[in-house]
Amino acid sequence: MINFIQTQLLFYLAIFLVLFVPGYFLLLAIESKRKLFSSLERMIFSFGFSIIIIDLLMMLMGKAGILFNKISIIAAILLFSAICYAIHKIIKNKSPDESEEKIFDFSKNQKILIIILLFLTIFIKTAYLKNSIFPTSTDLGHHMYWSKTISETGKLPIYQESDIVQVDGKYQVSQPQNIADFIIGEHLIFSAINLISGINFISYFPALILFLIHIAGILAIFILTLRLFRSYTFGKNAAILSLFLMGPLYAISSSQAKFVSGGVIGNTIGNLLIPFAVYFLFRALKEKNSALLSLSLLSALGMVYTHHLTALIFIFIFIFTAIIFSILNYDKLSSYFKEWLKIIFRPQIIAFIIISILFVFAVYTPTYLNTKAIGTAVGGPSKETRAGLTFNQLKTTAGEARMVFGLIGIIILLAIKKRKEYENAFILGWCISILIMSLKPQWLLLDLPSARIANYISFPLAISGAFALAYLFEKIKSSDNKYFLSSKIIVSCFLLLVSFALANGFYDNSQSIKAQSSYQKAMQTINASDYAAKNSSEKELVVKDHNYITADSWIKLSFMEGYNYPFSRGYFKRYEDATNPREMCTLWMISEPNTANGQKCFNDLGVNFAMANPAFDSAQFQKSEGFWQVYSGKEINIYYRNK
Amino acid sequence: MKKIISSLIIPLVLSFLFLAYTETRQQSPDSQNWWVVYFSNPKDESLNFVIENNSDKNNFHYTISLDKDLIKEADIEINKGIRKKIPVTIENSEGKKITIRVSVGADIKEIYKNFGK
Repeated sequence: MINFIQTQLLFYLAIFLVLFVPGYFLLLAIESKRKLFSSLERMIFSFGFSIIIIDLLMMLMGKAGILFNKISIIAAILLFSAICYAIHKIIKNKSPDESEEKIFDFSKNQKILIIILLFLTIFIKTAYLKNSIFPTSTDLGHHMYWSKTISETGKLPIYQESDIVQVDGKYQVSQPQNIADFIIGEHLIFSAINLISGINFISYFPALILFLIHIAGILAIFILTLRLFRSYTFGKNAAILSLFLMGPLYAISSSQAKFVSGGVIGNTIGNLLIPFAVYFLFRALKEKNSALLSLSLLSALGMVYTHHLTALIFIFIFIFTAIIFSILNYDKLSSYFKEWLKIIFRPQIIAFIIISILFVFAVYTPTYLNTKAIGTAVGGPSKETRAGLTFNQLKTTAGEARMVFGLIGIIILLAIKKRKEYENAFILGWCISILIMSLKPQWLLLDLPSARIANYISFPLAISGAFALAYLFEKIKSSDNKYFLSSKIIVSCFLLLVSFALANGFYDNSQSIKAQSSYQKAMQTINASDYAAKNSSEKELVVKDHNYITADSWIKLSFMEGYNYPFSRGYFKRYEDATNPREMCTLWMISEPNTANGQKCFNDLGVNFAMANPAFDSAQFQKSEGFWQVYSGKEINIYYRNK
Repeated sequence: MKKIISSLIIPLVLSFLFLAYTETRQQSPDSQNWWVVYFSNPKDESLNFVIENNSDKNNFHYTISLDKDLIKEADIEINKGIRKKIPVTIENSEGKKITIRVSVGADIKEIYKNFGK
């Protein structure tokens, strides 16, 4: 118990240092002249910007040859914070602090509603995570390998993997090849927290950090909605409804708690940074404030270093918003254009852009910035899974109620008198861009998995849907309404709609709750991995199965000998994909170890250990005299090839 | 605003504590119910083996066979959370298959080395 408390204290201290302090001091410097944010906003932005700043600081340290360890990372955070504090002190406006803005003054009932929604949101997600907090997911295992590599080496990782190739008829392990799938921003914060707190990667810590990011993303939607619709009388209600549609409803579905336990780090951070970038861009344009524009650019830079798909989606959101705004305001476009130029052509913005470009090309270039990776993302769909979803599939991803209200919101936003305003253009641009990217990617010449893009639709639809609900009820209940509905009918309609949303959203939650945790299976995997790692060597390699072993992607954390090691028998369909032929040794070594093909692979590669689930893959080893069964468990057997 | 921030932080901290405690409990030996058997050295010809008990059962039974001949059997008590190394010395095993079969109740696991190849 004492050990648990000590680990917990160090963990929270590390979270505070890594995920709050740098962002807080950055905002302190930004707000030196004028208070820009409420305390809730400052808290959320401090968290989000800390992620970006830690990434940038560690990339700079890596470039400068400074090894990452507890002291160097804490020193970097403190130095950055001290610089920001000094800037704040130097340029601080001596006028007294303004009080918190009125848009954050909620009535008693609104406060109660917000508190209930926050509680429900956290409660439902916690209930789901209870059975999935133990680290078993494949993606999280892959990511934590890189984070552990950073922690162990103290350096920025080189994203490479070795594969099995055939040269002159002989199988061999290739020289390491670059991988474009991983992006540095997905791993650095986990390394920093591990180095400061000493907490184990195979623990609750990665999922809890993702949970925190996810909750911050939901709150970012709440404050964004509040800012977007502040000029409407029902703006606060719309924000609360956005919390309702994003929080407790569909709380477990993809892009929500499932992404937390599933270790979908890039998407989860992306779902925090997109609302950030939209929020700051909106406010920068609305308030003609360059400081806010610089924060929008910083959010976009964060996306570049965290998740390429998110960065690409943000580009499309930006383009669609610009087009929609231009169409709606074509008569005043030249005057708007002059306004924008005034905001952009400020020394701090120009400096930020130049420094960012230098950073990308001189300090650390994201792995995906190469012709091959870009070529695979554009040019039109190359597979069925990239040819767009059906509307029904998209509805399932978004959540039926969110989809219905969101689409009604789009229609209202296009129809109302205020449609020419920035807020409408942003929401329309956000919704429509992702709708087209998910349903008709060929129109935009995109070649990306449609289901992954569709995961981004929940956020804008929640805002649009919240606006629709708040708008409709405001209209119906307003004193000048011409519908002559009694208050009882209005309340009944509202309750009916909310009931529909609740039933639909909670049904989705109930379908996703896991009955049991698979932690015991995962513990057996870890036990077997440690055994294999202890007994294998450079000359006696290991192959394992991915199909039937729980948490198999975490096996590599016991070895730390390469991202693609131990070699893995992947999903069977991958070996049959004619469009992407791949090596067959991993299949043969597990599925048919006694055949000539299997034996050749073992001999050529020097693989002597095979890890497989005894329920599915024991017979082929047991009937061979060439294999010893050296480790036997319920979930994993290990076979040793006796040459 | 303070009330809203508190209503966010307090449940979040409680949730974190609960999830961290849950996962820590899941990792602890007390929460396991499985056992494994393995050779101390999988690569050489030694036959010493280990029973690692993370289950609630204690009374293990093992047999050692040379090809199909049973040459040794014994009962052994291993408490939960204990790894018990069992030394095995067998003469004249050359060219034969040595199988170690461990059971507890109806649950049986076996490991073997085949010197026949």
